[in-house]
Amino acid sequence: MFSSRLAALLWIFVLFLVQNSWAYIFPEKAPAFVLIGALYYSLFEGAASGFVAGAWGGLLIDLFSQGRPGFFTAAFAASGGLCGMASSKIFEDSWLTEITLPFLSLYAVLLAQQLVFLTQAGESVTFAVFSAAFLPWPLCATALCAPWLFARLRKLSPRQRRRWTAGA
Amino acid sequence: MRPNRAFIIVFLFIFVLIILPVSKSVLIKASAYSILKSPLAFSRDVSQTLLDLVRFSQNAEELRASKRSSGARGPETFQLQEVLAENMRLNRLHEMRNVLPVTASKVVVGRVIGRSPAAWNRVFLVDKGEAQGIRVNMPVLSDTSLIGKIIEAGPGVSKALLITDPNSRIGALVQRTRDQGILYGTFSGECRMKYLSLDAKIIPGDLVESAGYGGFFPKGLLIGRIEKVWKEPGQIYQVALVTPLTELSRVEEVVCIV
Repeated sequence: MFSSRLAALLWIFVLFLVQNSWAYIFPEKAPAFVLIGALYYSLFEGAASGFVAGAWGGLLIDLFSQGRPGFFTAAFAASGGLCGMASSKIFEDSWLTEITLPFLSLYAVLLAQQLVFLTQAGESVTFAVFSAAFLPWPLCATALCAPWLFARLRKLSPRQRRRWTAGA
Repeated sequence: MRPNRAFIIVFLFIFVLIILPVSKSVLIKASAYSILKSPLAFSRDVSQTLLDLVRFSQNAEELRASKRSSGARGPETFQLQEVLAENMRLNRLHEMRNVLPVTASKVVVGRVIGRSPAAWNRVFLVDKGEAQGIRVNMPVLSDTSLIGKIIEAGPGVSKALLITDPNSRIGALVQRTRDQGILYGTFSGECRMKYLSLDAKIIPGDLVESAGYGGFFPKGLLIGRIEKVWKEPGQIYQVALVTPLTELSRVEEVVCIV
């Protein structure tokens, strides 16, 4: 389990570099590969793995953020942890899951970032925050790339064991 | 590792990150850039190679045209064109000294070595740091205009915040009418100017320049062009959409005023 978690961290770092390459070619349109990777590990290896993978991926993104680090570490870790907890309630191999989960997770992260920013700036929070957090390019690119990336990760980093047999 | 222990360790780590003083976190980030410099440069090289491959047919056509016109041959033509293009960019940066304020005694030219991998953050890394005289809050310019400021400076790498980032705030004024306002970025990547007087007769096409408030930015650095102006509902000021004079996503070299 420990070695599989280390492999997850390594793959998340590789995804970070891929995301960086993509951002160089298509600035401001890069899909959130790191978040997709964290969600993959949360779905197939459980909440703890998703939490750790999300925190690691978020930390890498935090390095490129302005000001105090921690927001993306916490947000990605929460996304990974929550998806891992919910994974027993959803059909994880479905295309719909692979598209909607990264989309919704990224939208939740962007929304939270907006709320934190507005709160810190002392500005009023209105319903416009929902539309302002909707960044079509990264959200759609993330949703479209997710099934492809899930398929690649399944080959590169196969699941260790099914979660419903984990406690058996 | 038991799941509960993993949760606790990560929670503690995030807690430490959040309560860490900004000065310490900046030091940690700067050290991390030095470690990540090589892998990031590698990923940039990969994308540059991919871009070259995508443009291969266009380059080949240009090469054929070049051969026809000048009789030049061989792969050195590509290198020559690359060197010429770089030379032109650097020349434009050099010529920018004429528009810099007289108080700018020294400038540092740096290369962009990394852009934020997250589409919603508009920052980039410059390959110059404190060792070359870069300091926090220094203005960052392209060959045509002001594009941002340094927010973190490491020993050999520094991080710049673009004017389109929502965290960016710059005192600016409209060159023609001298109306002042605050230039800020939005989450969607736009650049806007607010607190413009309702009486201000601003028209699309007016140039916007830095106002020089606070002493961080010299006065008179060109930033962008007004695209449209409107009155915000319920507010007592006008807001303008400003288009930066530089295509921010394509900046390769920058100048920092030391």
